[in-house]
Amino acid sequence: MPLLGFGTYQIPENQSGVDAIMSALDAKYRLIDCASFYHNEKTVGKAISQRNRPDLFIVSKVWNDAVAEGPSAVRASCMQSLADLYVLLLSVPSITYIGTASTLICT
Amino acid sequence: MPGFHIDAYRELIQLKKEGLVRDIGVSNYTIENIQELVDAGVTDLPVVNQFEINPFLYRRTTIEYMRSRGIHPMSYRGLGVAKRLDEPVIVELAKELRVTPAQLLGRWLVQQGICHIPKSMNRNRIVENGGVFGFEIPQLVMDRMNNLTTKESLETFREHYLQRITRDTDIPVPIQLVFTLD
Repeated sequence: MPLLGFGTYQIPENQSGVDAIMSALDAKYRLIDCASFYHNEKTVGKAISQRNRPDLFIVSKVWNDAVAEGPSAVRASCMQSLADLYVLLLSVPSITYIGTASTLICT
Repeated sequence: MPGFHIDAYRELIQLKKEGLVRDIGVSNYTIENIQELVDAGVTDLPVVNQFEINPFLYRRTTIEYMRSRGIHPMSYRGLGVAKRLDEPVIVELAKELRVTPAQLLGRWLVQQGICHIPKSMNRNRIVENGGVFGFEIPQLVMDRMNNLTTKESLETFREHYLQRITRDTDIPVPIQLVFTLD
């Protein structure tokens, strides 16, 4: 488990967001912390697909609303994150953590 | 989120079995939330729990419990909120070690094996924040930083925590529901 990751909360869904994430990858950050709720997972996907980083960990989160809605919403949220992050399409063996956000992450 | 998270967790276990997620983590889980999973018969416990950890909110009891279960602590708000980088004690200690306040706070985490995930849009700041491996914080300085969490800050955290549980769930939090929040 890497000790240094890049947080993506409030990273914008545009080219400047892609550039920021690529800067982090170039600076040897080995994990990208994402969430469906951050509404920028496509940006993360774009950035990581432009860097060949087989040691990368990708973390995403199922948000509280999906947790409250039930298992099928949890599954749908995961599938959307995986698609947006291109994790399924990348040839690099990225590792995906999905966390259930509990109680207070939804600030 | 009382009541809902166990079903959600079971769905994640299913997704893992299908090979769609590599590992399962949780966020903001208290000791009691983990125990709920255990009591529900879950044996595939999370590999990581992400919650706020910094010298000003150092919840040792929770961190130690997670470790005893093999759950890696991961910190959000590792640099604190707003003005923590300007705290005189942080500025002073960083100067002593010839690093920046952000590097001192980041190193404090990684030196004790806690994953640190700072965010920035600024390339220089991204590089600065990531500079947490080239030096060691001496034990005496670690000790000082370990003692920056006050009773008041834990109490403020407790209030926020309980408010948010109620707000997010519509379910009144039972009075007997006790959370370990230190």
